[in-house]
Amino acid sequence: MVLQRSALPTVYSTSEEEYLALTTASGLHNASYMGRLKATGDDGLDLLNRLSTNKVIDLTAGQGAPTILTTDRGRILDLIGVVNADEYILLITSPGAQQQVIDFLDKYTIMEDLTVEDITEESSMFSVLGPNSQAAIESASGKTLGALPTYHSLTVEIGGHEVRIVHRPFGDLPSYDMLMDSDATTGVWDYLTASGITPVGEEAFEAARLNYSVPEYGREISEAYNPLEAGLIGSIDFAKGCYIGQEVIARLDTYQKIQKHLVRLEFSEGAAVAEGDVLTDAGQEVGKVTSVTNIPTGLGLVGMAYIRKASASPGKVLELVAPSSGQAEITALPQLFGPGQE
Amino acid sequence: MAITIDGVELGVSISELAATKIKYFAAKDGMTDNVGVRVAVKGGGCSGLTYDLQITDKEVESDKIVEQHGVKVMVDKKSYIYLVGTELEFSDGLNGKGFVFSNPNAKKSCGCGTSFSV
Repeated sequence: MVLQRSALPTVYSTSEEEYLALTTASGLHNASYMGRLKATGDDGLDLLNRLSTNKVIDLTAGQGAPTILTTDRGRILDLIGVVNADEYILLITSPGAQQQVIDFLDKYTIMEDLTVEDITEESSMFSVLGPNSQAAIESASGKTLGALPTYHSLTVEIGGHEVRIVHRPFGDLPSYDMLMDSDATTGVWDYLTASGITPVGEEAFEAARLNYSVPEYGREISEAYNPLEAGLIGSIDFAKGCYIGQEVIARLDTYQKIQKHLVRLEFSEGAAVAEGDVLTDAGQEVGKVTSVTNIPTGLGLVGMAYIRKASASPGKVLELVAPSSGQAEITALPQLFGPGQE
Repeated sequence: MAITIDGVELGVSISELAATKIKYFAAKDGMTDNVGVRVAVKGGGCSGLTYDLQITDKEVESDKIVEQHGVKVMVDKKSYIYLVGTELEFSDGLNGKGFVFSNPNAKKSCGCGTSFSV
């Protein structure tokens, strides 16, 4: 059975301790709820290159890249990681998006040699996050990761089990995914926690996600938004040629026609706010809160929202509407994979 | 509507000018006998599906093949359903687009005409 994120422990010790481990040392999060697909055949990278936003055709064994599957209107179907695992292509999808991605690829596989299977259930995935995450993994595996670029990967041995390490960004917080066969799950988890990496529950992980502004599928990533609005420009290659939705995305970029931006919010002390709450600027509705949570170390409530372009600038203070109350300051316009090509 | 010759339905038909151009490009590549054009559909392009055109003198066993204007038109078997009734033309001149597909199955096409959806 595939692990659901909602089934994760809320906390293992305390949220404060776990959040501090994530942000000052290293934390271990069970991310097995993420989707994992195995693509085999000679045309996998070629087809993905023709169907998604980033250039993936040249990825050699060990290399990887984020890319976005979009509709012909340029809306996000899913943000996926493409990892060339040598004998196959590993696709890391959003939780529960596996079948949607398989169906999408299947629809456009006509004369190509490509088979995609869902390996989520037969594999596990952990994330090691935090400023000391690289050192912690190197210590546990006895192998140097070096400066592993985004979504590039290598295999290591941890506690006698083969594990694929993938460098998957988590805002500015260093983060590595570990993928393994499901029968290695307990052994690797126990080995890593025994080596001093702090297990992190849902509460502290969600706090880190929002403090580091990582968009989540179903909240900030969905067909309601396009990749430019979602701050995912760093996973778009504007020079590689056509893909589904390319005309729309290129036009939005060229003519600066973006209507709204994903923003990071810090709420005023004592604010009463929930997901879906309306935000106003000078009395006009400018957006809605997509995520909000409390940071356990006293920073208060942070969140994310899509805000109309004219009001989406750092320093801008927005108002919550009754029955909610308080203010929300825009502190950043996050770009998960950076500002893209110059 | 599918185009037929002597009661045989064509997957793809080609105009006389397109055939002339195919023979011209084939000759430049040293092909003079058995000149053909292989037409297929691949996933990709702005609208989801994109045309794949190859000038070739090699037949693929599973292809649907009909000769027109001295050129063998070879249609990839799996692509056939997307291409039934399509005419391949050639747009000449300074602002011409080269080989152009007129596909009755295409519900939408992208601006440059090389990609479509059904």
